[in-house]
Amino acid sequence: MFNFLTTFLSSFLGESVTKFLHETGFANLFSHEGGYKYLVMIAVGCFFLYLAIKHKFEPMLLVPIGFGILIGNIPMVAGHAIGIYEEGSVLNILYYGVVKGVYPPLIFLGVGAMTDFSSLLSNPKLMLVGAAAQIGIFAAYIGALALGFPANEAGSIAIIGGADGPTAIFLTSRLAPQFMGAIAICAYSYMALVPVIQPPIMRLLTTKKERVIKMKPARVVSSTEKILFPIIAFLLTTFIVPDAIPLLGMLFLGNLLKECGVVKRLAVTASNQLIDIVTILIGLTVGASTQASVFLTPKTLGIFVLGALSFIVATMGGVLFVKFMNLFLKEGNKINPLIGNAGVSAVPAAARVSQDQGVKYDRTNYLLMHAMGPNVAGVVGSAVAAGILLSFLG
Amino acid sequence: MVSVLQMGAESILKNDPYGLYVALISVTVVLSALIVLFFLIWGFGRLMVRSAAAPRKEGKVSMSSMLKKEDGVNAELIAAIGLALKLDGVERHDKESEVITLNKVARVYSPWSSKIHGLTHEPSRR
Repeated sequence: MFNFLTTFLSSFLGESVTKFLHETGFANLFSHEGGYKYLVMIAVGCFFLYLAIKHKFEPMLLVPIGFGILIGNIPMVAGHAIGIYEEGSVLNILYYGVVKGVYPPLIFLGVGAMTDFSSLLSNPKLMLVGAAAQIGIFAAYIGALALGFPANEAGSIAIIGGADGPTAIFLTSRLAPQFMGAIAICAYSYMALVPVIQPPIMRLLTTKKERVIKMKPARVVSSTEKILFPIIAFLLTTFIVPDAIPLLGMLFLGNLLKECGVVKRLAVTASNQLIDIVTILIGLTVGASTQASVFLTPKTLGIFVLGALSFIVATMGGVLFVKFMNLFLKEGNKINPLIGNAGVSAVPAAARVSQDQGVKYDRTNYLLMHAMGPNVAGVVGSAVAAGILLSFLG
Repeated sequence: MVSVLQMGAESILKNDPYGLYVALISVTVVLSALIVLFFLIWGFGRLMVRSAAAPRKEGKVSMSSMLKKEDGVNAELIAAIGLALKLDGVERHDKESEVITLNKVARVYSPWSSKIHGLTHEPSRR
């Protein structure tokens, strides 16, 4: 029996079978040092899928990312041009769009084509709330430097506070591509967890009386204003921060396609098929880039802690700034501070949180449309902030 | 001394180890960009509201300005007109077209009304 086994193993067939067995995921899991990390990441991927499917937390993002994590964490032998970090593999080619920052501007084109700036145009002071919430980005920058991260990595980590996945990916591709997986996953995770993270902070910083403030209904915005806004806003913001051109250019182009009314087909494509395709690609490749060997490091933990800090400070910044504005506003013109959280650019999740909280304290108080103002201002603000960080640290 | 314009991340870190200057400048730039945008939108919005409220040259008067002239902006009246128009659009299907489209009545099969079960094949003699 033993002789038969040794003869079989030394034969061509035996060698082939042994080689195959050594290349299976199971063999690699146990033969690699730290192979358990792959299992940890697979569990994380499954958890993302659970959150998306069972609890409907940002399923459009978490389903592709969660499955991408599973794809990226099958232990395998390098050299078969399969893995995302292997030159010429299919995943590597798709990942090119993330590494070179191609996908984020395309996502912004779709976001622009889906965004209605009416609430912001009818009440432009909400723009300032969007600006105030960006303070989280710079607080996290200081925090990351204090923890010993180099300046470029600190800049990439800080942008998580903008709560804008595409912006975080765009900036990281320029400043710290080695942290792409960690920063993208962190940004998208916190975006998905907006309904969990923000409400306690909002309640902590507001009084019962403030939470039931009813805001004046928004005025009707003319189509001329809607058409001119993307052109004026693009020219103004990019003349100040040219590094934000790829993001803001696409955002405002998308919005112009929607508002001008003469290119309906382009607007529909940008806001449906295009953004869907790019969302699948970006989610899948970002998820697959979290290979356990490069993802599970102490620095990743630091990124997650700083990302949470950044997010919390951004939410606090928005809410407190509304309270500050209310000191100068007349009775009847006051702003409900529950829309301050929407200054982060998680559109429309943050605005939905404002609505849910508002209705909780007064069933007739609908804050959604008011919250969309700082929410879309947050998108512009975080893109401007990314441009500034890029111009300083790039 | 390296010019600020030529500084990379490392030289920025040397000159600003705690990141305070970068943070301060960045916050100022973001705020000022959005404040300028706010003033532009605010000014433009006022201009648009004023032009919409102004009576047209040909003697045509906009609905909003007409309401304003007579008894101030009556939001409830506007809401009522809006609701009436909406209801008119939504409930239009209640009007019958007066075209009969019923061509055939298909009776559903039931053993209770079936002839097969009501008649015997051959009457039995006693």
